[in-house]
Amino acid sequence: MPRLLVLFSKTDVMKFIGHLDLLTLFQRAINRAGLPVRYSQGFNPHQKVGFAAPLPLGVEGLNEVAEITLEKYCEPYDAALSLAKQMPRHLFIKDARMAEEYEKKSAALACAAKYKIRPREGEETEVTLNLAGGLKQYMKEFKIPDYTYVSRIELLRKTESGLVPLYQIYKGNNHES
Amino acid sequence: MAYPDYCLAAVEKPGRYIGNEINIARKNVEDIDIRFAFCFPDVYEIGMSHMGLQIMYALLNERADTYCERSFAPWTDMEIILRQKNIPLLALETGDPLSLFDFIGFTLQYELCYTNVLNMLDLAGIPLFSSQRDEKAPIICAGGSCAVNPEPMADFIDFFYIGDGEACINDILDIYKANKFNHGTKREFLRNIRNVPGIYVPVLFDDSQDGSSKKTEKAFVSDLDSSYFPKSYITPLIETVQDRVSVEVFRGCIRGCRFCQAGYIYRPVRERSLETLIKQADDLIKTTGQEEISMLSLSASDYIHCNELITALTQKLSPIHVNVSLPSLRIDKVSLELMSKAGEIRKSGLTFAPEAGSQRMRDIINKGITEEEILRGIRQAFESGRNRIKLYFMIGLPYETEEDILAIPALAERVLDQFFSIPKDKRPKNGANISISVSCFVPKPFTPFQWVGQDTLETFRAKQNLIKRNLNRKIRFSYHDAEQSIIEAALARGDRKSGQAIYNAWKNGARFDGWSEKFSYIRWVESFTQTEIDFYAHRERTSDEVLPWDHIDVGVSKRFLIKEYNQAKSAQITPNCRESCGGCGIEGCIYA
Repeated sequence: MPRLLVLFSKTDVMKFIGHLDLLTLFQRAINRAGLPVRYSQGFNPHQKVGFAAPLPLGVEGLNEVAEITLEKYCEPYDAALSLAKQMPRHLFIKDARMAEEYEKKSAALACAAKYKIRPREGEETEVTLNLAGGLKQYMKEFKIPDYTYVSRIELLRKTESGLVPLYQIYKGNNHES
Repeated sequence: MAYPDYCLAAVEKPGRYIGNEINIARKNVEDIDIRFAFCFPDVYEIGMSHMGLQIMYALLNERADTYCERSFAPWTDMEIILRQKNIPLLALETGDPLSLFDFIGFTLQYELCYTNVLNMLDLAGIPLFSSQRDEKAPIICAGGSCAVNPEPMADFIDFFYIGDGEACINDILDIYKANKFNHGTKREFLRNIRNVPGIYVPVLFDDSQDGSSKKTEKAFVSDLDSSYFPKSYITPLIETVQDRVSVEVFRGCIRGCRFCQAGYIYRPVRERSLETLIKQADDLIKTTGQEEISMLSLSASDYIHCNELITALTQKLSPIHVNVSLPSLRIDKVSLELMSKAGEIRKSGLTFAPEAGSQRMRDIINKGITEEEILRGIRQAFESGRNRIKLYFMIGLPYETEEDILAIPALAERVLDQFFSIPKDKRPKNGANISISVSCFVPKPFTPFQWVGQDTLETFRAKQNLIKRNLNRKIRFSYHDAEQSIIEAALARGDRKSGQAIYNAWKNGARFDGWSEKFSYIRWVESFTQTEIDFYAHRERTSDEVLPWDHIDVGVSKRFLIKEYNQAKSAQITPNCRESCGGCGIEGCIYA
């Protein structure tokens, strides 16, 4: 089944929309856009839509990845455009591409992320943390208050040459930007 | 402006306060003559589930000269921060303070939200009493079903709008605009609208009258089919209580259950045509992308074309994975067939409201359903694979005896027996899961039971215990807080003097009284007095008493209500409107 990977940012007030609500938001946007989304089989069919990694409530994301399984191939650019039209402000669709067949699910690939943390005005740090509780641990260790501005700049995956941005294709030379 | 991040980051559900939803109106405030804040005095997830809000919001925003925005009661965690940081209550669309608006309109859907109205005004920095507000303050108005007895809130509200919102709101805004351009005063505006249907202006009410002089007649839409309905609904970004879109199949009800206020104040029955409903459903699904649509009415299976409607909608919507749901069903054969048609067959649970345990009691309240029908319906539900049945009952109904109370656990037990009388291979394998939920009767204005004295707290509790002691252990039991129901009754049948008690309660910290964990009975007893609670809630009134809402005319005659009350006394049922007209006096009824 073709999988559409959607690169998006979620900033401003949209950072206060939680993970499950974001899923509903995407599903309804897909419905309005009329994308040929795939439904799961069984008693209670649901759309096959997911995210690479949930964002904690209150944290903005600059390069988040959604993965939509489709019934049939569609032109990624058109899909991105029609989806973008259905999004609320501050949820910005930046790009879309089809996943390569050999590519694992983005949720399985994402393992770390680069964050920008600003505990106080003018005091800004960039850190790379693992997705398994890394941010929480960091905030606790450095006693950073809960309402601190935190931005997830980039989701990362592991390759032989180290951590690389999740959305980019690394095998083959077919990536266009 | 919007709420600052440090506020939002500190509350439990920040999504309630950010706006930015799909299909909201975006306008340039500079191009606008009238700013209207539609306020729902409960939390966002409840307010956004209300169809009236969607209709009024879209209707007001159709006007190029008007910008309607929304505001909801901030939950207590948000209130603490707003007060601490001195941040006023804002409207969701522009993030402007409510005090900048021309109108603040509240919808009063239940009495226990009254203190939230006061709290929202206070958080907006607006004086609570209309007598304390100057020309610069917004005009505060209120509508919704509770407005049929406006007196308890009359000290706080500049004008009430009684009846269907779609009917006359545009007339009000036209008059406001003309008055504004003529530099008229607020008082002049109120004088100018007092003769518009549905409008009640408390400060202009001459209370020397005995109720026989000029009444406020409710505003009403005579042709629902051609009345305004939005092409799109605001689609929230967070999950709401009723997380689905809904179309209104018909307004009013043919049944005439004697306890039910909606059954009287929304008369006459006005239906939408099949074509209109299908078109509206289609529009809403397309513009919202939501995955469920609900057929709203007081009794869905009473719609003449219900079968065709469900067939057409499921044919159209199932292929695109949209669920059609049918709330408010009666326990009859028709309803069950409709449900299986709507694809609700796969749902395991069913909710029915017999309301009373004994036939005598069901006849007293004019429920118009027999035990045989109830049991047959439930049996069919079991046979169709459902095993979770929830039954709603009410206690404290007029003329209720111990026998009537005992009939509730007895009926529940016979429901259980039905399950076991079905051969094992034909009933759900995982056993029967039966629960009963018992609420306390609240007498409401404009019903045949508006004169009834409500049970005392002790009596309610004794009756709850009686049920509990006699209920089969296999049946689950839940009941509604009697204390809340008593205050609901006191407010529902209150008068101008009740405003002081509402103010006291708010002053003493009452918020979200509809939420049992926030409600305090002691606080309300202290805010009223026990004598007043007895006077408003527990006292039986005589039919010749002048009632606080006698100056409001919802179209159903008092003579009819008295007649119905007398019928109840002798457990006489009144046929539904379609069978024969009971002569309620409503104008424009197709069954009269």
